[in-house]
Amino acid sequence: MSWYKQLFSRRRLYGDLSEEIRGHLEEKIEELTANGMSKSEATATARREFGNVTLLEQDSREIWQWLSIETFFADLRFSLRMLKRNPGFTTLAVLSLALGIGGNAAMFTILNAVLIRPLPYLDAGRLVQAANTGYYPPGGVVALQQGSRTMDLAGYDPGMHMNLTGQNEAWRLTGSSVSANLFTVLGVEVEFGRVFRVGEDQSGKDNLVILSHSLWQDKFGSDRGIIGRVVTLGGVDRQVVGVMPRVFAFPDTATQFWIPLHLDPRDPSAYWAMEFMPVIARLRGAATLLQAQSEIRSLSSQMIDLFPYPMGRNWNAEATVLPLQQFMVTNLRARLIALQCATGLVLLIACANVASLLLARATSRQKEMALRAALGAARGRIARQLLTESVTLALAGGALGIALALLGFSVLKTALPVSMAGWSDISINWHVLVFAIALSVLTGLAFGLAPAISASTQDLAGAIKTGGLHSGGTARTRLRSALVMGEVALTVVLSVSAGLLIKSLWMLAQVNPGFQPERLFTLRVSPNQGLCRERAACVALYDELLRRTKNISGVYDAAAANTLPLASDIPSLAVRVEGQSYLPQEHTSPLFWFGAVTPEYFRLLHIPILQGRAFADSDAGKSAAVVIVSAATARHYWPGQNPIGKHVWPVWEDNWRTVVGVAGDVRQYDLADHSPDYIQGAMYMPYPQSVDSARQLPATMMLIVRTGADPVAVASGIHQIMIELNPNVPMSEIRAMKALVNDSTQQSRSMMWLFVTFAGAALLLASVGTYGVVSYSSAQRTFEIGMRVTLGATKRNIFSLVLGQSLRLVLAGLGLGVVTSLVLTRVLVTFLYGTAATDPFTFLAVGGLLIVVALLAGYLPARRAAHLDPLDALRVE
Amino acid sequence: MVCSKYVQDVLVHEKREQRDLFPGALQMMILRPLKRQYGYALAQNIKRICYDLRKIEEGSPYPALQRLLKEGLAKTEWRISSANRRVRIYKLTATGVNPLEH
Repeated sequence: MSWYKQLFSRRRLYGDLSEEIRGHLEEKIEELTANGMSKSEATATARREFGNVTLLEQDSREIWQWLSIETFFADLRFSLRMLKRNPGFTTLAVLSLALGIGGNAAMFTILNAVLIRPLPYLDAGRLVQAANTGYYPPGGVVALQQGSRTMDLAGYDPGMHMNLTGQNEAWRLTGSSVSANLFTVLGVEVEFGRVFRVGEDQSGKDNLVILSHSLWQDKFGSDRGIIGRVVTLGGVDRQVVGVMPRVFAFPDTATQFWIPLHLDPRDPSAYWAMEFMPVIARLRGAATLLQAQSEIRSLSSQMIDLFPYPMGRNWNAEATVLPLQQFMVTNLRARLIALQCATGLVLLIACANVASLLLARATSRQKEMALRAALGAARGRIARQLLTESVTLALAGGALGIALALLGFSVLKTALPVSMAGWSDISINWHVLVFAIALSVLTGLAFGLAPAISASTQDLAGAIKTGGLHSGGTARTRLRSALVMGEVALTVVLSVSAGLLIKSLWMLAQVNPGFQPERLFTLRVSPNQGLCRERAACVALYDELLRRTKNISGVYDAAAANTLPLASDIPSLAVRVEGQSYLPQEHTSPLFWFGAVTPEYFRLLHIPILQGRAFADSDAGKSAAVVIVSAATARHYWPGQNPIGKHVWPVWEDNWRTVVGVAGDVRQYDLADHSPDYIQGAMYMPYPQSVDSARQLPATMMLIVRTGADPVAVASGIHQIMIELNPNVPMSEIRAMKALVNDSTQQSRSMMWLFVTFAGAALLLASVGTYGVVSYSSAQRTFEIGMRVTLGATKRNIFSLVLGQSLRLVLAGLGLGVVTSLVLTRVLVTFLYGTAATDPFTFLAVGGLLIVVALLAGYLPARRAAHLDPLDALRVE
Repeated sequence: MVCSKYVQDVLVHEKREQRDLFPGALQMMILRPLKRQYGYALAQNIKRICYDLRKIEEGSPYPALQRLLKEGLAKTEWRISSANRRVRIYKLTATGVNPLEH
């Protein structure tokens, strides 16, 4: 019989069956009465001998159903009815599950994207990266390429900027200079055109460029005739040879173009010293990571003698080779672990909470279950139905959770600093849906199992007789108490974590960054470095730009600097400091952060000059060379001495630069002052006298403007001036200084809000869980309480009796949670500022909070118990 | 009628996992010797003939009969019995009589 015929004829079949069974019973009764039995006796006998009419009929019907799918749907319908009948319980359970499942789904989306999903390169599992430090100069990359038997290697610049000129407007672009074989190593093809050919990274053959899809689209109008055309990048003409496909990103999503390395062994300072760059490679044949690693170490040590200057003997001796994917998430790992732990905890708490709610409900449904069992429902059938209920609940939670995940996902994204290939198009996909559904079902089974087992193994007769008020209680209450205790413990862990992060952020907010960002906005002016080959031209350009900017109406003041505070880039110079002795063989000149600033800089940013003087217009290119050092630098190198008149100079210079002033310390790197430990000081130079590590006048400068007018209008005014002065100089990155300060704590804030949300949810769940257990058990003790009152207990006694239970429960959980926290919050250490992972203040605050929760959760049941009328209470029996 | 252990298994120990092992085969043993039967008569016959099964629940053949119907091994029709009752007769189909040939 085909399935649709079955479907339509089933009603008739069921009818036939019922009639048939009725006929059976009637015939039996007729026969028995014919043999002299009374009518009622015959009816009873017929039924007894027939067996369980309902069960047999049900079994017979089930035969017509498709396996157990239909029983499942029947259970589902019933579950939905039950859930609808208890909206409070359902809402609470679904919401808590949604939070748990949603958080985990969002987390999984990210883990899937950064850890599981292969990188969008050919056979990405064979791609590796040298690390620790694994940076090599261009000549070193060539030596590796020639020497390696286990890998095909390519070097690349992690990110550089060049101007695209000769179009209508000048644009500052982000690109990467790469070994000619980089694209072959990655195993990627161009969208059209070609990749670089072997040898095209040799000096003289390297005036080529490959464009990213988006650059080709935005700046070249998607013109397929671009191949072969010459574009001007950084003042150099380059021929376009290819355009990469839209999905391609390397080293990160910001990269807009690729140019070949400029390899010139005849220029040792560029070939061996200029830029040390990261190295990516593809393992050959059956080569393993370990082979590659030992090879790269031995090649590094052989390379040391090739350098035109002495290198430390242990240079790159500890270099490692990591899978590319692992390398890319190195700096994410800690955050991912912390967030995964947090979402995992929330889900556990939600499970414990729903399980304890279900247990409570199972108790109140004891009679219903017993009745069903007595009417012939198989025990397995009851358990299955309860499990269907919990899984339905979990799936509803899961559905809502996915909605939450969609929302939470964007927040999570802001908490993670990622610019990996394909990162922007991460979204909730079917992998995630499958994960969420699987998680829901598992969750449902996990928290449904205990109630289901305890419901299907109960003592029927006892349950029906007593109406469920006293039987089967203690074991179940103990289980519930344990669940709630665990819940409280996990809540403590989350609350402590949130507390630590809040305190860190508060500490960060107290930090004096050393400057005042109010009413300042900044923009980047980036002429080609070539423009500054003639130092005076660059100095004049900025002089004129500043002069005319100050004349724009609404502009109070303006300055230029090579970098901004909190900008997380570190212009640095190797310097000699007066009074420090150096051992030439050690090559340990300290690296100083350096600012190249115009005289207005200090007063504009309100950076105090603590000693000596600020720069003046008279500190020009040809005047005596002067510097200003930071207060910390002065203290470190000349403790107890007057720093004014001391000398500092870049290692390659013969002339001293004289310290004329001491400026207040500024958080140049970030608010938490995590500047790398190789930076051992900070100094400022007047712009006309300044040099960068390439011994050149910095060309790219940040313009800092104080204005009461609309920054956008002012910025467009400055842009106009710039076009008049030099149309080939692009302007970019117009931002309020306030926003810069804000952004520097963005990640910490996202992280904190995530944890606060998790902890808040956990607290809510824990208080509901505690309330549930306490109010249920005090209801169970109604008779006992009535007895106590009769025997002379006061309202106060009863009140504290019940409240005490709540407190005991929470305190036990609190103790457990504090111990767990002391172990677990170490995960957070990297995100904390000015706060120890064991910060006693935070732990105390959380303890206090939990006690408040216990009192709140215990108050209502305690009041109810205290106001029990002893007569009513005793009559419960 | 074969009063074997198998019949007992089919009627009494409705073991779910056994159900799909030999679809219809076990049930055949009940009905085949009887050709045409209705539920009540079948139950009485089993109780009368099979000593081991004299105490089985009379309702227990019904699930087994439903399975035969579903497998297409039997068909039913409503008739008037000799006792002048409306009864539902179970009859083996051609497939049911000799399942191995089909």
